[in-house]
Amino acid sequence: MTATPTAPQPAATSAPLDIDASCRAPLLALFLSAALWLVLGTACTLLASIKLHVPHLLADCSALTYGRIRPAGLDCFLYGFGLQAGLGVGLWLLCRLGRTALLGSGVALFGMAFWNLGVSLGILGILIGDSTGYPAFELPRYAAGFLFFGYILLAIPAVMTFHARRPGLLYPSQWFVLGSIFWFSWIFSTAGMLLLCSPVRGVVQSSVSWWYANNLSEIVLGFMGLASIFYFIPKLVGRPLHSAPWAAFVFWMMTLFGSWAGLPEGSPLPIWVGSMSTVGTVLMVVAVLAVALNFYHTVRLNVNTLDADPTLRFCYVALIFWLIASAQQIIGALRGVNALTGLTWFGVAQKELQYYGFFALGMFGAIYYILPRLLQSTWCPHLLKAHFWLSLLGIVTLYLSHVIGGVMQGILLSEARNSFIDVLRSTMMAVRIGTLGELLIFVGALVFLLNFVKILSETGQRLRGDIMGRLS
Amino acid sequence: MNSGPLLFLGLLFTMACSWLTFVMGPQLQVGRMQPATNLVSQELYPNPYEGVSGQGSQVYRANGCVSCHSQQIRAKSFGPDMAHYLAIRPSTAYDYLYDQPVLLGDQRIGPDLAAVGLHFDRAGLLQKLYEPRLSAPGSVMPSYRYLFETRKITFAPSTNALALPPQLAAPAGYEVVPTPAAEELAGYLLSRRQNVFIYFAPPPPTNAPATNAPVKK
Repeated sequence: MTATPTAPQPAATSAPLDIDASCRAPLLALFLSAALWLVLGTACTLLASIKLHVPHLLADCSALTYGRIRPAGLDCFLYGFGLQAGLGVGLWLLCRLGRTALLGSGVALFGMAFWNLGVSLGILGILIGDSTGYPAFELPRYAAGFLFFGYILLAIPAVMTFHARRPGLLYPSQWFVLGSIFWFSWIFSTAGMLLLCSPVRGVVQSSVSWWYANNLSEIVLGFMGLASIFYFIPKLVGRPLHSAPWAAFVFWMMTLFGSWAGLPEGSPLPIWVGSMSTVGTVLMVVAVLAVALNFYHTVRLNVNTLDADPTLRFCYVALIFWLIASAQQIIGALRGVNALTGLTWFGVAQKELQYYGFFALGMFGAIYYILPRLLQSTWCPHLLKAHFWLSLLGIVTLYLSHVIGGVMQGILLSEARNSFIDVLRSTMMAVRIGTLGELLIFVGALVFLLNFVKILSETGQRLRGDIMGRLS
Repeated sequence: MNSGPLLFLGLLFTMACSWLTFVMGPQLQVGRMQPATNLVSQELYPNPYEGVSGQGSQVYRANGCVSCHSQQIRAKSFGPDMAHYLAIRPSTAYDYLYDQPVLLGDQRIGPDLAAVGLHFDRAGLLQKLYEPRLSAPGSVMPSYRYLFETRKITFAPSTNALALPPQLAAPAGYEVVPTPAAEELAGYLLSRRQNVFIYFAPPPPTNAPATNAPVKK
């Protein structure tokens, strides 16, 4: 725990330009496919949300029924966008912080191809009715094999690059990236073995699938988002991170106890399982406080920096959403609150804030920083601003409507005399406002893709111009 | 925290803690669970031979019913689940012994289905799948029209044909019949009862005197 709290500084030996050149091909491919999956995923969840208003819409088409299109949309987001964007940002951070060029970029490209094949097969599988049914793990068995193989191929360059780092202190973002990469290989293989290959019996399946879903969202995606935040906020504010030991404390608290969260009390599992999970969740309070204090002391509420850089703006908002989402998870795990809000929209809202609010915004911030350096080009600032505001408004609308709807549903259902269908009718209005949020998020994703295509085509034109200039 | 191997060992340890607690722990305790004894009939519960309802669970899984319906009745201390979903007792781990996959669910956009088989008959369930808003106006459940077939009546009307009100009825000479998938799904839902009393879920106490003395006749 001796890392000096300095903002990461690339050494002169391996210049950032060389590093970026080595990352160019795999990262471009990862980010572009992530952006495409994001648009597809948000389109699917938007359609699912509209179906709550108009249950008759496309009711004859089995592939587009709510129970298939909603998990398909979420899995597009988690596996198509989430892990690809996260691994792309993670690889870049490992290169920059290790002051070394990316090793094995060809392997990473292969891995990306397999991964995308797996996600495509999986989403098609869900739509034709091959979903496994487990939350956040709906991709069928034939897709999981491709995913795992592709993932290993993507993880090998990360480990090789980390191993080839120049001597020096490790920065917190490096731990978070490595933790995330290690964690996913373990939870994915466990879930694959125990749910798909030789399924465990009875409610143990629920234990494994809840454990998997929580670790995917809290640790794998959570650590990728935190890695980005821990790197970019100190760097762009121009101050060293206040305390690396605090960051290490957060890291170990999250791996030790954050990985326990997500198994609700009151389920038919043995009682101690839910209780242990609640204990672990509540212990995360110290991690959340440590992150908040660490960044408070790093930034010192220097609000002037807020508009300095789009990446910084995305990272600030992502950080705030992480704090809120984690606080909500802790409060929701308490027994009295869980008895009210368990199995309502409340939990859905927490996941949405974690996915769209914290993780996606953290990734956008990082991509807005990394991509211009890979391409030596610039984003369209108007589209960038539009993307930020659309995402922010969308997430706030979605989150608030679902939290309010969930709490209302929980309170009304706690009275035995309110019939379920009456409660549904009176809370659906709050929930339906969330469709507006889904729409804004979808349009935001489209704007992001548009900006991506624009920067690519501008770079292409510039390169063509250069080549023509040299030829003539 | 500056050495790669140490970082790896630390991750291995924390991961192992989580894995041992939430994967290995439940497996050791309930992974090899055997059927319980039905307190009333002394038969084994649950019964592994459910026939058509087993295939129905695959229809349930494929169409993502778990996106909106849970199948777990929580005890009274977690709210009036039993009153809302008309269940007889809270769910226990035994109820899911032969389910594949086990879909407890995370969210209730629609009601819990753990005891749905106690309160519907086959015709009512099929009608609900075809048009949920007939029996529950304001419901947001999709109409599963693709699980039904509108076909011409060739010889005599099918005994399986849905009884539908005039605004939904098939045109003259046609009838709406459930596909095998719909029949299997209905069979599966009818099998969701959780009404067998076992040691871990005994019948509610009656007003009988608290004594072991034989009842005098």
